[in-house]
Amino acid sequence: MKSLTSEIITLLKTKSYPVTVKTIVEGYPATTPTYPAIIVQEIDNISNKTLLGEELYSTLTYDIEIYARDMIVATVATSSKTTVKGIASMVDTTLNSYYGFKRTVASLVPYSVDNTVSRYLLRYTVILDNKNNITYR
Amino acid sequence: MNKTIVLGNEGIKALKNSLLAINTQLENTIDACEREIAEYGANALSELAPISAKYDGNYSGSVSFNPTENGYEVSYEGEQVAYIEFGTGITGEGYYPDSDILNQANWRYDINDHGLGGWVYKDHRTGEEFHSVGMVGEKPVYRAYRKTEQELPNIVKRVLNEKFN
Repeated sequence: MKSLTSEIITLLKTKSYPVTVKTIVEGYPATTPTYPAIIVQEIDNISNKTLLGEELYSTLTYDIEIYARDMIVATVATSSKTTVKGIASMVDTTLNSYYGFKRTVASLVPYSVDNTVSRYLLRYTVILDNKNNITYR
Repeated sequence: MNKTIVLGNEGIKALKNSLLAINTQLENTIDACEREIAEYGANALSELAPISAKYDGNYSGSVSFNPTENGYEVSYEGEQVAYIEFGTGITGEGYYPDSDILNQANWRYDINDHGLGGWVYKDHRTGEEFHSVGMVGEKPVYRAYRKTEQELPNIVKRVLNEKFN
């Protein structure tokens, strides 16, 4: 069973965002993350086609959550919503151009415990050719 | 031996009428497929979504499907459905002895240091207080989508059989 989580995190760490993203990790971190933060989670990994016990294709689904507070960017006050949307745009461009991920959700979602933090969720699905490492929409 | 077959005016008219009839039948079939798929999706969502009473302290939503300009839309609506679908965000820390779901999700982080104690919130409509340690996304909409996607060939096959048999 293949997963792209680590690869996605490595890729996202190489990118430049409208603001400096201070945390990019898989799942919920054990220590308090510094905002802005990107959380990558594989929420589904379904076997699509197997041959002689070998998994040929699998359908992977990822949730990418972006968290940020209001902040000052180059002396300009920037709202948390603007920040998460700007980061989300870069994440989206990256995952589309590199993997051809199919985006199924892109939305601000509520964050239950801290209303000074904005939360933006991107959800992607992709079919992975496990043998040749090719992704299909 | 060569043969020439000429399709006369009557024949062309009959052919055109047959094609138009098939066209109408196909349109009806597509409409029926769309409706059946939406209905299946709504039923799947109803089975997967917590739509009755309260769920982990949250109010649940209602499922419906309605025709739109381009087909049908299956909706899951309610004040708390975003939490049910996407979870409450990065909350909670440590091991939760009473929740397999939270532990399986490796629920670790706690923004306001609630720890195992979680937090209490007041329902703004009833004033009733609830205790919560947050929740992971149950993803009923996503799971219903996957279930419907898997059933899609069977739905289409069934509708085609009904319409053309």
